[in-house]
Amino acid sequence: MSKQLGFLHNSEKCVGCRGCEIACKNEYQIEATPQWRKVFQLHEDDFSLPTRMFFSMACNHCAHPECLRVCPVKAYTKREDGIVIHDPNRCIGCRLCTMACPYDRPQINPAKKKVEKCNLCYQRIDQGEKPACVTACIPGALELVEINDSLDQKTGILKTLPGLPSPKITSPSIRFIGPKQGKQIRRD
Amino acid sequence: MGDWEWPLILFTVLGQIAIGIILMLWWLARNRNLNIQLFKRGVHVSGGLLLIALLASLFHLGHPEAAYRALAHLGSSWLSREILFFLLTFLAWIYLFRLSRQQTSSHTLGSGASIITTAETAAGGQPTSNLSLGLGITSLLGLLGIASSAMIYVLPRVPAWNNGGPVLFFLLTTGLLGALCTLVLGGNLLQTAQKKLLLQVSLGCTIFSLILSVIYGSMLSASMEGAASLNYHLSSPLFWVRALVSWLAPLLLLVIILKSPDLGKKNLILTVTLLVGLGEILGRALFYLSATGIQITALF
Amino acid sequence: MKLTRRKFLGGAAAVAASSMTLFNFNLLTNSPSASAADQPSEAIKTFRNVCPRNCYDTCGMITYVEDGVLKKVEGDPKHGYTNGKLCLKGYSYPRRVYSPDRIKYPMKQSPRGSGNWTRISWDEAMDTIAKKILDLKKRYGSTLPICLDKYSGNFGIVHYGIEGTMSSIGYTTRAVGTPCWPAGIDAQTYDFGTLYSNDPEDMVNAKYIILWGQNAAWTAIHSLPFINEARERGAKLVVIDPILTSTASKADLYIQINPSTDGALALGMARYIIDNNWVDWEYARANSLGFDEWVEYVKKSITLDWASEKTGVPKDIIMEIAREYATAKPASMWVGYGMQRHTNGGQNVRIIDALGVMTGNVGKSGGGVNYGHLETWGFNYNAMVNAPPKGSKGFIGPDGKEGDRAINMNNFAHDVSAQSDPPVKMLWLACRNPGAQDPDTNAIEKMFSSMEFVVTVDSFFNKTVEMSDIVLPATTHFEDWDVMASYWHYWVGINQRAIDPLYECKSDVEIAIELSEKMNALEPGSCTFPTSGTPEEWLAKEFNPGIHQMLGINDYKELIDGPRKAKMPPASWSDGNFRTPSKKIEIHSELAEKNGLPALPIWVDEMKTPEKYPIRFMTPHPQYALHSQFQNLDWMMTTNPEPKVEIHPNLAAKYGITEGTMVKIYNDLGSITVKAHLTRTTSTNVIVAYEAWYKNSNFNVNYTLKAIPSDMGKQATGNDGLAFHDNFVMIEKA
Ligand code: SF4
Ligand code: SF4
Ligand code: SF4
Repeated sequence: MSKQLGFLHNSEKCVGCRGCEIACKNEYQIEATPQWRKVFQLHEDDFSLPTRMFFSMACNHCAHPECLRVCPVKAYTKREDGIVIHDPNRCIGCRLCTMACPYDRPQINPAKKKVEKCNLCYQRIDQGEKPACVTACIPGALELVEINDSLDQKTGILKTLPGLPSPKITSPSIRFIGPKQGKQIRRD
Repeated sequence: MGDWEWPLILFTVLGQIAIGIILMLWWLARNRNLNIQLFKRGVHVSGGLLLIALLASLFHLGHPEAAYRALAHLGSSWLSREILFFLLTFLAWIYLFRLSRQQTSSHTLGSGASIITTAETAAGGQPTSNLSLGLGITSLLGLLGIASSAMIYVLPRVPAWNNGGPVLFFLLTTGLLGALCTLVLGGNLLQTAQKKLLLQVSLGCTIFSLILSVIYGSMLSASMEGAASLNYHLSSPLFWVRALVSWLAPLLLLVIILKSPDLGKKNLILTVTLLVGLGEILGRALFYLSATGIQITALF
Repeated sequence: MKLTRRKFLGGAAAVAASSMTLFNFNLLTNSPSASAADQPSEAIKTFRNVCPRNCYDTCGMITYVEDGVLKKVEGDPKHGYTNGKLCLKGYSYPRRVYSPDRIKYPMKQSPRGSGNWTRISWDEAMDTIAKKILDLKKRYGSTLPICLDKYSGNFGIVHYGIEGTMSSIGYTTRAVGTPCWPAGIDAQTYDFGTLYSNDPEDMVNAKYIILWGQNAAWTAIHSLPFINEARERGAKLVVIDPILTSTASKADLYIQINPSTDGALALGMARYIIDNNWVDWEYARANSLGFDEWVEYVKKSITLDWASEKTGVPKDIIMEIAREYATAKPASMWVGYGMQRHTNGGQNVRIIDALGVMTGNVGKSGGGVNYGHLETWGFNYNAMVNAPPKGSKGFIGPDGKEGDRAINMNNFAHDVSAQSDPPVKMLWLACRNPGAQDPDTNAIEKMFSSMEFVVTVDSFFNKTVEMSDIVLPATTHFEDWDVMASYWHYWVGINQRAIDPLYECKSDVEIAIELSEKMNALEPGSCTFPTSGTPEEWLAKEFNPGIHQMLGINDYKELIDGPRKAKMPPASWSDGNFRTPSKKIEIHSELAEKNGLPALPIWVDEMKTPEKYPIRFMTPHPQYALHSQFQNLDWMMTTNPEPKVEIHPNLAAKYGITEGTMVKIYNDLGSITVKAHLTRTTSTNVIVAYEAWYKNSNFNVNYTLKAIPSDMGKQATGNDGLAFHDNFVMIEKA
């Protein structure tokens, strides 16, 4: 594999607007239940001050994708650029990948009885466009990046956030810029 | 996760009984004194169970009609490997089935056998070793299938499963229910020594299963998710029913049966088998229900 | 597993059912996910649309249509403010258009409220309605028993055809006012002559930004990039809000102020600014009336200790923000609509206005006391103006003129019931859901049940529709021509008909045409609404040379190439031509005084917390909905399945409430029961639930809300606003 594409999520900028989550649904007209992308609100106790802090997560196109390993029908493939693609045409709905992924990102589509997940908008990427969720993010909190050492060496780049599974399981291709808090004058 | 996976419960438990029976037959046939009638019964019953198990397994798929594709990823998917081994097991079973059609005598095979069918003789003259070989191959393939089944659940994401537990438990179920069901099927066709051996296997498996469960349980508390699985077990009434019917009651009853002079307590044997069967089904249900994966913990 | 399988079957059956009613829907949802994103083929056409909801951002959208089916929506990159992006509500539009829950045909409910709906033809619907109107007219000698309640469900200009429908049948009773923002409008009207905010894109030039009761992250998210750019250039962001909102969580400084005391904070700041002589005397004295008089008041009556005591904000913080705001130059303030929903809300806005004036931040790029504007709304309102039929009898107003009878939109239930000469007998509702949005829902229910006849035009079976006799299916903005302006940014855009109206849906103008035909057939001359014109022709009639010039176009069709920004300076009031009677900023407003208000922006006490109901129940705008729209869509119900009330852990502990407990919130008026979420984003005497209409839920925050008027609104909007946030309750475990 020559490179690994992934996401950079900036929790400092993210306001939890869920634009990315619904933009993804709009792009592919996904049924209600599979949530390819989902915005999570972090526990406020994880911070020194109360807050509304978020991160947005879709498939992490892991370097060691568990979904791909367990899938019996080879519905998953990993492209040269690191994108983990799930092909619903091959999927037989055994749901093993939904058990194997620590991020719960492959999800069953109850109407089609097949799993679906984020394919990192590879069709858009192949056309030189950005993924729909990245395009939709108004504060610019979500970026498409190449995951590599030089990114990881930058200061402020985190591999995980409180509440996330250990990245050791699958080496997810997502990095974070940690949330920052301002000053608060409170009444409690 | 955390579903009542009925098709999977049926598939694994029934499949394990089927292979357990064949395994026991093989073991009984090793010194050439397997009753031909018992062989037939065993093959038919195990085949039936295997078939039901395979059919049940289809129902956990969203698209059973495309199940054949599941063979596509032998390179890394234990599910693919499981399917392969089970299909091979079934092929081997067909061979056993053919053998069983060729046996017309109701007598015991082996050194003491008085009648060997002409067909057998014509086929190569070594019926018993054919039979043994057939049973052996089927058992081995079946055991590989069962181990693969168990390996499916060895997921780094699920600490409760990510260890030797699933394989050992699945194999123990195979031994335990295989021995008990063979006892029930065998009835008077079994010699007392055979009965005794089967009863001893059952008792051994039960004791081992109990010890293993205790060790396993104490291991679980090492991780947060494992502890959640353990808690689920300990706080579920199902678990305590299981403990009663598949450990406590069998221990007691098996000892009673073993102590009885002719080991002929048929009804008791049937009771133990049913109890253990129920216990294993509950155990399997708990296995799925209690599985707690490492996951994102966020507010919403 | 059995259960799951049965669920699967249910799902499949549901798909089959929807494919029977609307085959297009199936086409859309069954497209394999991998191919759905294939690049626009030749077959895909794009259209320009603008989101017509009551929202700051009024986004430009591009709509993708294939074989007559709306495939997806995107932001319009040619829209300089919304900049090619939509919010989550905008992206959910395909689910609204193709929602299986949409009202598809005219339907009648008998009896009203029973849920027993039957499909009827447009002809039958129009016949029933027309006959009812004529019958009422005959019985009462006028059409005044017919009352219209229309507001902001769709702010499209052509949608003012609803008002036109009513004018064309005679003089009617009209709900007048606005629940949203009137106190602030009046405050700015007294001070500056009208509301007129800087271009929000100009916020990038601010060196200091105060968001005062404004949660842009939820209600005006497209402003964030401009705020962020200002911050990247060094500006500090201060958010003043009783609730630690998503916006406040990002601020450099968040101030959790005592609700309704914003004026006291501004006065405290003013005092400190005066004491340190950071006042822009030159600007204030040259441009305003009564400035020195107000300064005297501040010096005499205001102390920092008092302000700190009142607001709960420490003195040193008041001093800090006063110094920073006064010296940053330019410093921008954005006054949110939440902070004026109090009994002293308008007055608080006037004080904040004065703070802007005293620091010379009014009329400056990067400055302003920004609230909203209506500068780009100068359309013809052609569909709205129709002469009444000959011989129509109207209501003789206090000025002796005959016309419509105006009642207060903000006390609708009460005012409808209070009419006696003649009484109100029939309601027509469009772009409005009083069942969900009006105060005192019990009173609304009672008033509705006393009506003879209720007609509602809507897209979903919401609470108001549930209380109607006939519902008429409305088109979405993708199925109709319209033009949209914003009350925040300076852009104007067009709504093309991207897809044909679904089912039997009609636009408000088409409904008016049908009604006119029917009424004139039954009684010639009884309705003056023109019966011709295509939807696009109706749109064309809204434009005039003033609009053309403002947008730099010669023809509305040019808007099909992209939305246009009004040619206005980036800073409002930069020409110094204020629109008050004196043409200056009226710190001393005689108009206010004439209306029984203080002439000066002095402190007016907030509403006292009643002893029996010590907890303030705030019900601000939701994230997933715009009032009662959007939250009912399946995508929203997945991501936000149920309402919650935010309670501070200390308060919750007092009542034995834990996370997830069902909580009963009540007062004399009524009660609601909702799940608790414990959070320190609110304070110990304020609980928060976001207003919205959830599918299959009777959650409605307005059961406990009294129709208490805010202090201002009459001058510019006809009626005072509503003190939505002066809502006091008690809680207990349900
Ligand atoms: S996030 Fe989950 S689905 Fe995506 S590549 Fe990793 S393991 Fe697979
Ligand atoms: S990359 Fe594309 S498919 Fe993946 S979450 Fe974003 S929009 Fe959805
Ligand atoms: S669109 Fe951007 S700001 Fe909004 S939730 Fe997603 S990542 Fe966060």
